[in-house]
Amino acid sequence: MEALKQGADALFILLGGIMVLAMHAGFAFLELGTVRKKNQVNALVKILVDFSVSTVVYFVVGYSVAYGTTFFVGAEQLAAKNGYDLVKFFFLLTFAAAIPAIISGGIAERAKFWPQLIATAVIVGFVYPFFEGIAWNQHFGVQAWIKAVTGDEFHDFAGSVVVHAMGGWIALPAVVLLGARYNRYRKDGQVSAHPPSSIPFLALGSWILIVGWFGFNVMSAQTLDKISGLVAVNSLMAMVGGTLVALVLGKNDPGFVHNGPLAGLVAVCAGSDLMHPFGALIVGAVAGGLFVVMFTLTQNKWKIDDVLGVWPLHGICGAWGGIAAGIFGTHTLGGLGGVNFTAQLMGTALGVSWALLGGLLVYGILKISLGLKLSPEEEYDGADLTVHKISATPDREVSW
Amino acid sequence: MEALKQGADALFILLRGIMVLAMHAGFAFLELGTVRKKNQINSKILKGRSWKH
Repeated sequence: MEALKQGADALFILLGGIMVLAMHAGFAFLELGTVRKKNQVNALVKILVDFSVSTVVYFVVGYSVAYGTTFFVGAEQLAAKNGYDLVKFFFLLTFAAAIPAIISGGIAERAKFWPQLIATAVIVGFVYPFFEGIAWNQHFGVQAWIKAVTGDEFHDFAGSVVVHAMGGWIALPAVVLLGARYNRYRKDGQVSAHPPSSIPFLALGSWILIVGWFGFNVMSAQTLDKISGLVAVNSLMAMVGGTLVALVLGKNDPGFVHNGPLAGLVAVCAGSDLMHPFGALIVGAVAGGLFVVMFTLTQNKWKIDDVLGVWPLHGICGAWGGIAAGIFGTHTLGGLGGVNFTAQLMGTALGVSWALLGGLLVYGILKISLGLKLSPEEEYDGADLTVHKISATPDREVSW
Repeated sequence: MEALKQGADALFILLRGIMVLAMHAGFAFLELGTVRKKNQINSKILKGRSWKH
């Protein structure tokens, strides 16, 4: 019987890992569709290579920063309990690797390739797992302190703050330090068009992310006996809430319509195991609206050239999700309780501050030492030709 | 034991839900591939008043 439970638990978290692994294809296609044609290849290569660097770094360093266990033991020991601990690493790695995938969308079309890989290694090896350990593994007594002050721990079930806000708020200093794409903001004050290369690919990326997200959230329970259909339905509600509000506020623009569900899903992660489905619908709806408004402000008013809008999407909606768990997770609003607003606010503020600090340091040092940006000529030729020496559809550009 | 069975049942029906959700992407792309190009997306965005300007 015990063997069946162990096997089922290993399979459960493995399915989660596979689904979030698939989400990385979603990140790749969302970015490919949103950037201009001359940067499509770069988007694909970046996501796969970032994932690979993340795996090595998280296996060797990051996982032990967060959980204190290392893999420098015999395979016999690692394979115990059907290898559950190894698959759990796989699952959590796919979360960690989401951080560079998020940042990638913000700095797209003009960032140098190799400095970004260094940033990935430092972020996944230290910046991310440091806060992961605080939020999810009781490090430094921060959770105990929050509990002593407010009565409850900071609750982040599937990572609205630990993963998404972390990625979004690291991306903000990265995007600002990098600077806008060439001629994005013209001298006469106008914003010049840098239109997406492919709405179908953008939509495909969004769909892959949506489907995989059910693994991201539900399998965060980590063992089969703790699975909760509430998590699944809350995710669903937040997803459609985000879609519908983004549809209306975004005036039926397909970019907004396909980022709306992602905004809702980012926000629902933290409280998806506590909220009532109607609460989740509202949380997702608010996130969809936040995304449309904040994306427009950052791009057009503040002139921060965050290409995929990863700061509004993951940073703002992630922080909203962390706080929303403390509102809609309470008994008063039909939730399961065990959370409070102050604890959520404290945990979220802590995560955001750490991400900002980490992002500033990592990208600040890289900017001074190696430089972050392609030269204007390289950017004009496109990252595809500059970095990879080939375009997305070579036969159309060469006549032989 | 009961908890394991409950969990397994919930997982089973969840996987069904996830697979059929993925089918909706299939519906979208089947239609996108079948229609003429001018109906693939709302033509308004081609005129440039949109998400990425």
